[in-house]
Amino acid sequence: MSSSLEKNMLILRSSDGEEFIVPEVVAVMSKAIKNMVEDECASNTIPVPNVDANILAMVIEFCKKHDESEAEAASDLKTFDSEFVNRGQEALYDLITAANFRDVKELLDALCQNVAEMIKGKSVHHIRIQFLGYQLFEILTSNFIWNIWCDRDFD
Amino acid sequence: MAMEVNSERKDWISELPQCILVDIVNLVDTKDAAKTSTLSEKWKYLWTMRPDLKFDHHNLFGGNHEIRKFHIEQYHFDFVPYRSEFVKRVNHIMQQRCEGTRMHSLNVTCFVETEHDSVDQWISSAINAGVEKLELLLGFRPHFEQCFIFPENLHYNFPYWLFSGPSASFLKYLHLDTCLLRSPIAPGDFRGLSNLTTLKLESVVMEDDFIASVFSNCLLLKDLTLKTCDSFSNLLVVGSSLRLVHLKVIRCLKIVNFVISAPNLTTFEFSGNILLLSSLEAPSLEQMYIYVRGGSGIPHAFNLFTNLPRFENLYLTLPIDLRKVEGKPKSLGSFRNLKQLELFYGGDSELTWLLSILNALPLLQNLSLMFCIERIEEDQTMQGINVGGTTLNQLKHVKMGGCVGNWYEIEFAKFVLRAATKLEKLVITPVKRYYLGDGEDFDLSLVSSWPESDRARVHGSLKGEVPAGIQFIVL
Repeated sequence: MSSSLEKNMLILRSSDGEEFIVPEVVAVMSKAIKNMVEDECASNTIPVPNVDANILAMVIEFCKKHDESEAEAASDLKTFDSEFVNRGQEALYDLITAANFRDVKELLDALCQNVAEMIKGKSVHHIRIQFLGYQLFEILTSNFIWNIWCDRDFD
Repeated sequence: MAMEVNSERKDWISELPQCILVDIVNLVDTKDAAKTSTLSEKWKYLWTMRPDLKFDHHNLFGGNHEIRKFHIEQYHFDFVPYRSEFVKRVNHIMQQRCEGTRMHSLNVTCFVETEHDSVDQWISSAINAGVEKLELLLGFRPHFEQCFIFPENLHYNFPYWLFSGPSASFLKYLHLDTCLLRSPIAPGDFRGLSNLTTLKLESVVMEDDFIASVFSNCLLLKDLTLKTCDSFSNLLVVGSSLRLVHLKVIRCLKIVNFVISAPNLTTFEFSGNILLLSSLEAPSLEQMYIYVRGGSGIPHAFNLFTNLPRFENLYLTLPIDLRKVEGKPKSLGSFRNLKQLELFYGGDSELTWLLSILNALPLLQNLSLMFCIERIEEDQTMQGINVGGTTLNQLKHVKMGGCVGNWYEIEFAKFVLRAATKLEKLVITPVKRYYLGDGEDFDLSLVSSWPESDRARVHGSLKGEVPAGIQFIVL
């Protein structure tokens, strides 16, 4: 397979053994992969441990879009980003881990932004449900931080 | 308040690496970040590790909390509890931060009377945490009286000598508003500012000595902005070793002597009396914005510009009030190389010499014309402006602002459409706004859009004249 591979293409192999043929320019948006390619310690097939096929496909989709749309309006890309990262918690967690581990800065930024939106302007109650899935009642109503920051006079 | 417990969800987010969690809380307001401290033990101090700290009203008190409108008499009375709450919250965060937690940037936007001792402490903490970018904007004015000017004795005396203390200073970017900068006493006072690349001073009180010290000590300085600083009189931007690339001097009204000799300067903005700029040596200059108020400044400006070796490639913006130009087109005609011009236009009587000005500017690319007559004047029969030998070969963008639909506006638009062979875009709008320098526009418009009937009339009378391929917009 690698012999018939076009120039400037790389094969990425997910943790569960699925292979993806990806243009090099797209693959090197991962800084970790870029370093491997530059150090020439990569054969045509690059293993991507800890990232399964499902998540790897998503990461590749994101990188392809960002590679293609350099000329596109920034606002279009932003819309794409916010739709792309709008996923369930499990996928979000896996994507963040993959983006962090593989050092894909643009993707990590978009994902962190998405999680930050879950906090922005929300009540403590809401944030707890969102992240922990439950509300602890004994919290912190006597807590020092709570007293300073949730003073009713200023809310 | 019973809460349904969803067993499928677990504490998924807390399993992420700490550096990512810090990145996430760094993206939200301080007030929201504080809420995350109640999530769990792991989260308790995460929010204090944020590298970028921004303390302003919105950030500390939340988005929905609007400051009430105050009258000046109430100011001292009602803002005392508010100010002390502000200080309490900032102190709390600063105290919670662990030693050794890096701080990248600190922005404090608050009242001028904020306890100066507390501000000193915040700055000390920032220095110890290796701060690179510091913004101290103490000119926060509540809704009353926009032009409220703080008396000088209220200004915060910015302790820049603290940066020369035992821990090395990493400060690269400094922005001060409504502060006092006293001139250095000891030679070492300035050491801590020697890594500065950007310095922006707004409504800052300082003397000539301070400015001189900046140029002799901050040798890496690339970007300098002085805005509405009304206390120094000499501005000598001189030195063969100056690395200064960008200079903005905006409405500093006390300047009497202004000299520039800067080998690396590429952009320069100046809003003030051009006659006070006695010399301009800038071999690398590429872009310039100069606001010329009256007619007498024009010949002087021309003399300055002719000494610039790269003048032919200069991107020059020059807002000029035509009504005040003495000698009219003749003096302006010398600006043969002008690429961008903003004009204020006082009425139909000026139409002919507006055209002769354009005739004299063969390289003009962008023209912004602000019409100052706000009433509809009686139509005059006009044969159409004779294009004659006028060639506007370079003109690409024309914006006509402050339009009300007068006949001469329409005639001028027709003229542009006929004479400007390379025209790409023509915008006609009732909005009257002009550039003030430092990225700000000033909006003088009475209305933001036309009544539909006027819009249709203007559009209709010009539609037939627009050649294919030109972007024609009537707002």
